[in-house]
Amino acid sequence: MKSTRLSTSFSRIRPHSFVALALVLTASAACGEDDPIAPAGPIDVAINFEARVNGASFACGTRYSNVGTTSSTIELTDFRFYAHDFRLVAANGQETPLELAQDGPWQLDNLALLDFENATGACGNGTPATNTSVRGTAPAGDYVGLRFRIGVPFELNHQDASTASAPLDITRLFWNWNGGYKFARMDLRRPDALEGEAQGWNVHLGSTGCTPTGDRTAPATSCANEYRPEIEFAAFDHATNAIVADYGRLLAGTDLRVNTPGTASGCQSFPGDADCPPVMNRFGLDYEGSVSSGQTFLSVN
Amino acid sequence: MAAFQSQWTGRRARHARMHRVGATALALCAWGPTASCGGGDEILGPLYTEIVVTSDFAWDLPPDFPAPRVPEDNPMTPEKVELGRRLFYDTRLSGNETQSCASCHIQEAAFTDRLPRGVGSTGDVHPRASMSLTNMGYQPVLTWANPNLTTLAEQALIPMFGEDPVELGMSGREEELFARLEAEPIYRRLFPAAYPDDPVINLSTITRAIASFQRILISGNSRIDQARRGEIALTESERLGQNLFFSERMECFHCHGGLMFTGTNDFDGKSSPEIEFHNNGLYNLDGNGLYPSPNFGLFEFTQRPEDMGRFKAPTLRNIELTAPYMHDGSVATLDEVLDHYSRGGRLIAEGPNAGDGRTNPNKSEFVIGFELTARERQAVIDYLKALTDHDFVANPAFSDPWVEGSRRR
Repeated sequence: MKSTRLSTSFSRIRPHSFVALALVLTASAACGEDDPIAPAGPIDVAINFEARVNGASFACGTRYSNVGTTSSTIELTDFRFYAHDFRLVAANGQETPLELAQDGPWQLDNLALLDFENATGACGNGTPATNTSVRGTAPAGDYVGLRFRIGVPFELNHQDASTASAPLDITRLFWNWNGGYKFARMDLRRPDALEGEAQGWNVHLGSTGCTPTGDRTAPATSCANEYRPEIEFAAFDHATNAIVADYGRLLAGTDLRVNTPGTASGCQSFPGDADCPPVMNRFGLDYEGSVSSGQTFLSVN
Repeated sequence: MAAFQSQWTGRRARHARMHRVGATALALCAWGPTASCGGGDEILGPLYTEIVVTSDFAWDLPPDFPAPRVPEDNPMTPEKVELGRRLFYDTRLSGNETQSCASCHIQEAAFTDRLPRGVGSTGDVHPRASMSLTNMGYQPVLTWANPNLTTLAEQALIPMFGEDPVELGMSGREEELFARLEAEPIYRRLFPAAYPDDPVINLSTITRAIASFQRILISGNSRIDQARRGEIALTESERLGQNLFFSERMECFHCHGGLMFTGTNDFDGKSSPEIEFHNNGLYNLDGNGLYPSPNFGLFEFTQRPEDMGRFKAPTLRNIELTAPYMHDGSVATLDEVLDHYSRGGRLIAEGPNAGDGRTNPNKSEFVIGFELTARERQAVIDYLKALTDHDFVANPAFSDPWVEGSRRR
């Protein structure tokens, strides 16, 4: 059933995706190593990601204990986020943009979707295919660090979702009410929640307070809260390192038993949600007077 | 099955304009959702009607109505309208196949659901009331307060894929939706007819067809319309109510004025859309204008303090049929609506929403309060009820095209 859905999806709306899928499957073998006999020129770069929960590898259907300030047991139902504007950083601080492969399903312009769920277990509303790397090319050089942003760039965030190309065609990541996309979606349920406790807890990161300026009939032209955290790793070697996205660390300051009454489940980036400061701060974002001391969601392995 | 029949059949048009053309039976056949032209009494009438042709689409408009403005990326065609009507009434558009668009937009209730707040296919209660679709094609912004939703096609994505609350519950299940629709023989005919260049079933074709159907949901045959056209005379009470409605004493018309009885309006050829959001003093939780979460109105999007509690004034056409009232269905009857406005804002004495809306600092300057005699109050209500268009809610062209009971609601 799942594979049928995938193939019909590709045949119906993504005619080039069979080729693209093949590229995805072979990309890891082709990227990340300098070939000594190749002429000097662009190098292939793959930035690998790993999803974890408090250090343990993430998989749909697996339960994780000791999450949050009150040691909740959780099962994730989604684990995806967009990232864009990847820059390789030289020792002198100079940034070189990573030119992303336009692969069809996962990468578009300078945007990539990282998708760690595979539609099994509690992740049933996800997609069978996963994507755990960002692939592109850059001029040969001595790069020591990496910078990028979580989220969908503004230029791509406020378009007509019904005609958007992959990876902006994932309805589970639509956020039309806010005129954009969910930049990150990490949802969980608590299988042993007690009566009166939160049954689930969702993290949806995205721009809020978006409104047209001037001509109010035009699409959103500015957002009060961009919420595109800048991520910087001073020491990152794409050939040997990977980036770890740890949902447990994102929730390290959160009591998952509680959702503030009258607010969205968990933290969904809306203003006035007392559940948001510990999460947003760990994304590296300030939130309504709660100042971040730096992101802790992502780290280098 | 009856061929579509113009509701203006047989009426003499008294305000002919240069850009209108006399319709032929052929033109109406092209319009008709069932394409079952070919004879019979039903198609004789349109010889006498007037149909506005805009971009090759023959609108069936009341004689004094302009055509809706149509987005350039979704030109109107009769085939798209027919497809959209099928989709609008198709419960396959919901995850558990229990609801269609029509579940919360019921024709007999002027395309509302008679509930204070909508209830989605999985039982989620929406924080706001289902809006009437009356003349939605003339609305440049489409929901209670979201300034970003400007096209019907884009708006359709929210009930389909929204998750907070779940409405139709299709998020992450679009491939399943496409497969369901592909299995329907009627759609194998209708999608290629509507999109001959690219007859694919996808989000774009689905939402644009639904939008095309919604755009023909035009209501303009209330008693007030008939009186304006000189076809009937209003009663004495209705006339008194009309004078009160348009008086500086009541100030109703400032927010509910114009042909659509809402200040927010647009139409083909209009210089620019007009978009208004108003605070009418329903709440004031903290003395500084706070509204109950999550219904903050325009503030949700602009996050400007002065936009707290500002909502679009909905059309008053068919208002008799769309109770209960306000964005959250918190006012049950037209009589209570008048109570609210006559006080100049609502007082809630106790409970979590306690506060005096009359002193809300963001309140519209036109919500000033007034006193009405019993006779005057009845006259205003009579006038509002004269905005009911009984043809609109009974028009077979807007009704469920599926076999009775099969796919509806």
